[in-house]
Amino acid sequence: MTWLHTWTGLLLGWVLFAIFLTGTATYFRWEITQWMQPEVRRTGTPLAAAQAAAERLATVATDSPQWFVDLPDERTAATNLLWRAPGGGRRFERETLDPATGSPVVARDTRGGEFFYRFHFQLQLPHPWGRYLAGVAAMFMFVALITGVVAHRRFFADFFTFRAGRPGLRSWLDFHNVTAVLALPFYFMITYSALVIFIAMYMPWGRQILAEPGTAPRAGATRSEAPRHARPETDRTWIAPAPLAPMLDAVERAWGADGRTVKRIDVAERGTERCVITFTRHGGAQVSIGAREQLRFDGVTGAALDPLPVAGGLGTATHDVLYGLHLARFAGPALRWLFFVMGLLGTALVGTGLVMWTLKRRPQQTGARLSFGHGLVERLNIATIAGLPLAIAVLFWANRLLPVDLAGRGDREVDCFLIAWAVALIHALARPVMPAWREQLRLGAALFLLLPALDALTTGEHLRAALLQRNGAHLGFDAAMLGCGGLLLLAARRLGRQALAQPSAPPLIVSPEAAKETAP
Amino acid sequence: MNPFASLLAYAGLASLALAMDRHHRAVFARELAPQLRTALRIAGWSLLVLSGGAAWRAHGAAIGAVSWLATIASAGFMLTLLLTYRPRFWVAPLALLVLLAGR
Repeated sequence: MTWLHTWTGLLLGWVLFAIFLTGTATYFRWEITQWMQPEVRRTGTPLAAAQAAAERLATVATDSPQWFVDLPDERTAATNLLWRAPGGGRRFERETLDPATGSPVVARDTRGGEFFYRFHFQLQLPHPWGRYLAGVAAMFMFVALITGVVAHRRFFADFFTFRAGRPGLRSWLDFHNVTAVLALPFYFMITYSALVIFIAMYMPWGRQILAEPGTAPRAGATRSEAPRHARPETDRTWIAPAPLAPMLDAVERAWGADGRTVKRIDVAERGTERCVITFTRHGGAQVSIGAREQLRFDGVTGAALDPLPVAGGLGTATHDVLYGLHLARFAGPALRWLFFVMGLLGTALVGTGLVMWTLKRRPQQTGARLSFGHGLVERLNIATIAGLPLAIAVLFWANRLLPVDLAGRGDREVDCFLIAWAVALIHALARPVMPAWREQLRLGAALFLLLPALDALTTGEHLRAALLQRNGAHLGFDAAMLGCGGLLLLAARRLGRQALAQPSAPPLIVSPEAAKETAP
Repeated sequence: MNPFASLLAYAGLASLALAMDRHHRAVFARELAPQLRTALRIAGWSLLVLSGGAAWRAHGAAIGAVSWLATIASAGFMLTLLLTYRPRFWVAPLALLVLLAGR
């Protein structure tokens, strides 16, 4: 079992590390967006934002056959509009609104936290290869978890045991085990649910279990499936849709204006007699992503419609609960921080596994030079474990330093991230191993630690406003950046000590007997 | 996440750790008596069950269970770090529990 654990862990280990790290950041997806777009701040109630959004759409998307509105809540600041361009194409227009005024916000263009969300399962690869690669990586992780439990001979005897500072592999193995064992239910949940989310993609033969034929399409649970049938034919006469304002009054009576109220509005098949308007309520503290509360209205008469029957059986329900567990949208701030910490532990689990592969094999490397394969693993480890956090820090720096009105600014930020990561890889290939580790970790630490200062220098008025309004997203982000910098600094210091202990490069690990002899 | 549930989880995990020879020796610098081991184990598991109950009461069954597992993971990680670097301070977080219970 150990060889299976070793090789499933290694082969896609770098991909897994990237998925775990960016996926962990995704727990704060909307908070990251708030920090990266400090111009947009939430004001007023979601219902007021819905009224403003309806007015805006009525002027800019009058002839559009389809509208989507995503409303602000306690974690998001802006209203996001999406509407299908008139003329029957599949082209969509989008706009970000200031929730208070209902006019488009003048904010820096950025991908925000969306970048981390997309990256952690698409990996910047062309569709659908990123999702397939992420799926294979998740499967490898799942195998590595199971084989890891089997291979860990002292599972219970070594509980809570971290023999730090021991020479050689001992302390690494302890840390690997401790991070694995304590959060094991989390890893199984996150890995298994990752596979289940795209199960229809990985195992398309089971699709009929998820959406049983003959039942109504699921109520807005999957945005991509619902609109597909709604392609208007251009020769039809336009039937004027009913105004949204009276429906919003009904929504307010049912769910209230603030708190757990309307989160999404879908207007389907505008201009036809089949037009339906669906209001979806904020999910609140509910694990499953399915069966969200909805209010539906006839788009021509404005009359209330019966709710859609819940489609799908046990398979769908299981899928929706696992999906919900993976997203953790039900989590309040404290639980979300716990998920974030467990995500970091998972990142460390993958990272320590990768490092141990090289530590274990270094003494076996005889001859003047390391073998090509071994050297490659060491370099890729540096470029991933130290280089990816560095590149993420560069992304945040680019968000503050690029000119606000730069064309295609959001994409340029991502370019900066990718260039920084490529430079980290080149640096890892060019420099000796230990200096490369130290330099990248230290630079990453410096960039993270200085980020709040940069925030104050470049967008000081927003930071001041965040302080005055006690904006948890903005201030929490800055605090988290200091924490990330601290962690990288700690890693750099540990590594520095390790290098001092073994001044003459290999062997990096010492056998237990040799350690006893040299110990005072 | 309920602070009471977290501290109960921490206390339970600490009892279970102290029921293990290595950690008991590291904290108390003496061998673990068999009766004490049994007592610590019973106390540890009971505290974990109580912590689960507290999470259930605070968040309901579904989110309570999720939050309970997350709490155990993070409390266990903190305990491990304390046992590694400050073995005698394992008790410090429990002072909070006493404070909370006294309230």
